[in-house]
Amino acid sequence: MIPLIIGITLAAFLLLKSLPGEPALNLVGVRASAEQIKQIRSELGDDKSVLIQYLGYIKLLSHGDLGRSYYTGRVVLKDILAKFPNTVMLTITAMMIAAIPGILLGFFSISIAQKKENLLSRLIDWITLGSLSIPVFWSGIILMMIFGLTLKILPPSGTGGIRYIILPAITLAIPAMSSLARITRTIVSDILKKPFIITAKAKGLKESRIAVTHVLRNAMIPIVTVIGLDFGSYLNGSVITETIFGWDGIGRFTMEAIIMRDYPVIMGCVMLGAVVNSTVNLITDIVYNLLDPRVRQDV
Amino acid sequence: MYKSGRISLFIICTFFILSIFSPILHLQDPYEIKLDSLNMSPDINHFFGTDNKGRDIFSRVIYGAKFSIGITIVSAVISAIIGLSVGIISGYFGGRIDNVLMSLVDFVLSFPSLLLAIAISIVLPSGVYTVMIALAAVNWTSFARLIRGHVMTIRGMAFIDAARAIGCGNLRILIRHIAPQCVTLSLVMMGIKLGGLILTEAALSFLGLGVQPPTPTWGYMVSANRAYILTSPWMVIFPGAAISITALCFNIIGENLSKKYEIN
Repeated sequence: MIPLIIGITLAAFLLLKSLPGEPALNLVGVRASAEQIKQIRSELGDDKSVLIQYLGYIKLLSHGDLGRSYYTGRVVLKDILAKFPNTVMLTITAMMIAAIPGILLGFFSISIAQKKENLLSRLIDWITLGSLSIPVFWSGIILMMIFGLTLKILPPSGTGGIRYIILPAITLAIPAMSSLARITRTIVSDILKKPFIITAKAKGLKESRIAVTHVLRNAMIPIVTVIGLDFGSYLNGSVITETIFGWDGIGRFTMEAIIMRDYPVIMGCVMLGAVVNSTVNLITDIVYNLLDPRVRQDV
Repeated sequence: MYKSGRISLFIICTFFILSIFSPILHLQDPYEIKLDSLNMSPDINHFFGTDNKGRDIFSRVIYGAKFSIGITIVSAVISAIIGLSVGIISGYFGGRIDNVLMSLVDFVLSFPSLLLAIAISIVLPSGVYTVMIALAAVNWTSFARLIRGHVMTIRGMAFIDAARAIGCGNLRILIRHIAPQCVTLSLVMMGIKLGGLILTEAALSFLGLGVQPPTPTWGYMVSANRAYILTSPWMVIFPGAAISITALCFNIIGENLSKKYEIN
């Protein structure tokens, strides 16, 4: 994990340094005197070479410090720790909204399609393809218009309790639901080809019984894994969802920092993303190992 | 479902061709600001209404099609070329080269892809080419992985040994013997990727990082008009619907391809 973090910081650092626009100029404005600019640059450490800046950053990092924002002067780590729970909350709510309909849609599209393609499985195909094709920002705005502005049932934007989280979570859940449905379909269709299903059919078990005890139980392990691994794609969606709904999370924080060229904040958020991603992968591996004894035997 | 694939292809081609020939179709000028027709709701003169500067939304949507569709297709081609090259080299040579290239792939995948695309579109001067590069930079990885797997299965086949036996060098084997075997797979993967690409393109232009205004891109139209959503919803609904329909058509094509060639 440490080489990964060093690699990511180095790449992100170089990428950032090649960004056009200089933070010192952004801070004091174009009309500032040359002296002022010089002073700000030396305060930021921007007048030293890139290598020294990078080594300084790594040194800071080893103390568990992410530096301060260029603009607000606030400690980056503190801000991230304050905003990250909001993003996690949004993500988990979206996952919960997406999970059950997603799994059910995937399940029904295959167990019926197994016999022959009928109206229901076609309908499910269209629903999943359709909701994968709607851009998040558009569905978010439409939901905001209907529920927030016209019907006035829910607050259109802002951060807060359960009433605020519903709209952004649904927005995030729509594409997640259909990707989950498609993954479920693939997994279930793989299981249906296994010999124990044929045995179960040969024993004369009822279709519904096979579906619940044989297929669903075996499908749950990979499905849960996929839900976990999908965390990264939720982070993707949260950039736009949080921007639209004014949700005070990491996605919006990063987006604003990128636009403002606030290097310490961008670096901090990139680091957070990398750490979260690799942690999720690790946890998924461990859980998978616990749930499925066959994985252990192969090693 | 194959019929739906053909219909989708037809719809996209129609959009694209209409868009390319829009200057000679006597549509209203997508750039012309008309102060006497601000915020008009859809009627017979303006099928999709007008925006807050009096510009005709129908002609803007049609005009914007060539950017969205064109960028999507070109960036799919660029991703395919990069992914194909990396995948072939990685799969054919194996060993240390494979390790290095695949850790590069893992590295790119460890960033949230939209953030990476956003970062790239900020680094480079904004424009059509930047969007293409940003999209290609986050999408080549899936091509590389797929092609690598395929090359690993064919590199042990007899025709490769035969080629080596008659004295072909590595370069010749890669280009003349292995690459042609991977072209179909890359094309299929391109078809599968198109739906996601157009949504990322729309997201970038929604965030103001795509092709710059006054060029009417669909994502930017949604973003610029979203303040008027309550009073004149057609300004947002029609460009968004155009994105959704195009993405749906691309997704249907991708679905058909992945079913036919059994790639998930």
